[in-house]
Amino acid sequence: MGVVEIHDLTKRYKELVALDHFNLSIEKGEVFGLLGPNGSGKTTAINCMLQLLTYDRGTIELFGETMSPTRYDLKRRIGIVPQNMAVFDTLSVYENIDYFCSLYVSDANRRKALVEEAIDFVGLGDYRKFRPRKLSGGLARRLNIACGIAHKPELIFFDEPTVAVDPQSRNAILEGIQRLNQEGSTVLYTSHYMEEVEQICTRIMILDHGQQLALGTNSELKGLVDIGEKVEIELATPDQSVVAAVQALPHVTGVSLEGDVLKLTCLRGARGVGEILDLLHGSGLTYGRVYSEPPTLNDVFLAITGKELRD
Amino acid sequence: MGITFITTVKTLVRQRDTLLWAIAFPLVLCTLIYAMLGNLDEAYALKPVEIVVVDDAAYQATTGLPEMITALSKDTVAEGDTAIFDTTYVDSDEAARQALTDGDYTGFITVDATGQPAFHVDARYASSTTGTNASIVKIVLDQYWQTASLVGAMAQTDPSLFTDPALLERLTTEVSYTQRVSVTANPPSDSLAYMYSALAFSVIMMMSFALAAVEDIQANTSALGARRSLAGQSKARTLAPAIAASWVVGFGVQLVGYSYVKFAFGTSFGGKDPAVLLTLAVGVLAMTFTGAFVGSLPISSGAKSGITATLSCFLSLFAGLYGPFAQDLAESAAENAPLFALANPARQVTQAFHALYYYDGYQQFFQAILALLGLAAVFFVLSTLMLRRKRYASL
Repeated sequence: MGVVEIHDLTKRYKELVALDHFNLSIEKGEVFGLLGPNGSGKTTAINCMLQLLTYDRGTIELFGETMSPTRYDLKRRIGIVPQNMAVFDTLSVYENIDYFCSLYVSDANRRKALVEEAIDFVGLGDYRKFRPRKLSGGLARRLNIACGIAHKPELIFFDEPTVAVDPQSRNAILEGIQRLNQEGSTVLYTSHYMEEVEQICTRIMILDHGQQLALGTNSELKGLVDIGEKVEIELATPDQSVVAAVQALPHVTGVSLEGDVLKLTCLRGARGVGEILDLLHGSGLTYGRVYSEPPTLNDVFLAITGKELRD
Repeated sequence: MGITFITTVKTLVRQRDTLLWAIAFPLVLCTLIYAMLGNLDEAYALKPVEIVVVDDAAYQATTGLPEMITALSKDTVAEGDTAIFDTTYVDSDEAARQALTDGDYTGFITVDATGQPAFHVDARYASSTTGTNASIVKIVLDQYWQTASLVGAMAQTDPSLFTDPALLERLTTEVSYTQRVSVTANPPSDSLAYMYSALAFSVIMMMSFALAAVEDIQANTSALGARRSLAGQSKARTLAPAIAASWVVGFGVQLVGYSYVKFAFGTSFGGKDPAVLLTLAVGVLAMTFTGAFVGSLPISSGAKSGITATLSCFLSLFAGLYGPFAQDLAESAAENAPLFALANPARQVTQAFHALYYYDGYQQFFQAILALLGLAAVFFVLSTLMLRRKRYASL
C-alpha cells in the first residue's frame, strides 16, 4: 500500500479539464517528481489530494485511508510547502515557524524544540528575529519551507519551491529535501525545472494537460526516446554541404547548422562523436569547440509532445 | 487556539497603517471637536458681572443693600450659591468713574440721599456683554428697591405687621413662578454630544480588523489562507480565536480613544463611564462580526475593502452622524423603515450613546445594547455559514 494512492481523478474548471483520469501511486520513502509545464495540473493535483479543491470524480487515499476535508488526523501527518510565499509579513522568522508548527503540535515544549530544529535545518539561525520582507528571496523561500516541515511530517508536498530562487539557495533547498527524505519523509516534488527533478527524484511522472505522459525513473524515462547523445560542433568555416554528409551517417538521427554551430543527435549505443569528427576532418573542415551531452527529460518531453517543456 | 489568538493580535497590532489610522481617527476627530467646541460650554456658563460699588455713607445707610451685594459677590457668596457679582468697592463717584476707565467693569452702583440705588454705565467703555450684564444688575437692584420700599411703607403704616412670621417669610423669600428642570441626565454639554458622535464613528470603523483577520484564514483569498486551511485543525479552531483577537484589538483602540477624551480633555460622562465602556465593547463586537461577514464574502479583497468603506459611510449616514441633514434622514428612515434602522449597527451605537446623554434611566440604553448583541449574533451566524466551506471549486 502506497503513501499516496490516486485513482481516476478528474477535475474540471468549467470547459477546461485540469486533471484527466489522473492516477498516482507513491511509495513510502520515495522522492516523487511531478514534472510538467505551467498549467499542466501539478498544483491542482496537490490541492485535490489535500481536499482544498473539489473534484468531479476519482478516489484519493493517503496513508492507506480515504482522504476527506475533515480528516485532520491525516492532515497532521502532512507538510505543505506552497508555490507562493505563504507566511505572515508581520511576524518574525521564529514566530512564523512557531505558528505553523502550532497548527500541528500543541505541546509548547515540544514545539520549541521542533522550531529550533527547523531553523537550523534551513539555516536561518541568524535571522530568527527578521521579518520576511527583510529576507532575500532565497532566505524567504527557506522560511516558507521551514514553516511546512517543522512538525516533522511523514509526507511533504513541495510545490515548485525553487521558483525565482538564486542558484546557491536552490542547491541548498534541493539538498535539504534530500536530507528530509533520508530522515524518513516521503516527498512529492513538483517542478517545471527538469534538472531539479533529475537531480533529486527517485521516480518521475511527466504531466501535461492533466494527463500522465510518462512515468518511471530518470533512466527509464530517457529510455523512452531513441537518443544516445546530443552533439554540438563549432565550425571554423561553416558549410551547408556538410549537413547532408553528416545526415548520411547511419547513427545520426537529426542535424542542423545554426550559424557556425552544427547541432546533431545520435542514436543510443552508437560511436557518435568520433565518426562525425572523422567525417569533418576528411572533408577538410576545421572545427573548434565540441560539446556532447546525454539526453534530458526535456528531450523526452519534446519527443512525446512535440514541444519544449518550457514552451 | 491560544497561539492563533496571540498571533492574530500580533498581526493586527503590527499592521501599522491600519492600527495608526484606527487610533488616530478618533483622537484627531475628538481633538478637532474639542478645539472647535471646547469653549462652547464655557461661553454658556454664567460669569460674575464685574461692578464697582461706591461704598459711602448713603450706601451704608440703606437697609440690607450692602448685605445683599455681599451675599451675591464672588468672594463672599455662600457655598453652593452662584456668584452674580465680582465687586470692587471705592469711596467716591470719581473713584468709580476712574475704575471704569482703568478696568473692565460693566458699571458702578451709587445710592442717593433717599436710599435708592442707581447703576451707572459709561457708553465709552461698553462691550458686547454690557447690555446683558447691566440688565442683570438692574433686575437685582429693582428687586431690592421694590422690597425695601414695601418694608418701609409697612413700617410707616402698620408696624405690627412685622410680628406676623408668615408675612416676614414671604417678604424675605424670592418667589419664582417657573420651575427649573434639566432635560438631560447630565449638565447640558454640546461638546459631550459631539464626543459621543466621534466615539460612535470610531466604533463603526472597527470592521477593518475582523475583515483582515478573516481574509487571512480563507483559502480562496491568499496563499497564507490556503496554507492555514490545509493545516491539521478545523476551521472553527482558527476562526474563533481570530475573531476574538479582532474584538480585543478593536476594543483596545476604543479604550485609547475613551481615555483620551476623558483624561486629556477632562470630559465628564456624568458618572456613566461603565455604560460608555459597555457601549464601546458591544459596539465593537457588532462591528467585528459585521467585518467578519464582509470578509467571508466570496469576492476579491479589493471589493471587500470597498464594501467596508462604503458600508461605514452608508451606516453612519443613516445613524445621523453627518450633521442635521443626516439626523433628519436617519429619523425619517427610522420612522418609515424601522427594521432597517434596527439592523443598522451604527445607528444602535449612536442610539446607545444618545440614551446615555439624554435619559436618566437605562431602558433606551439597554434596548440599543440588546439590538447590538442581536446584530452581532446574526452576523456571527451569517459569517459562520459563509466560512464553514472547506473545499473550493477553484482557488
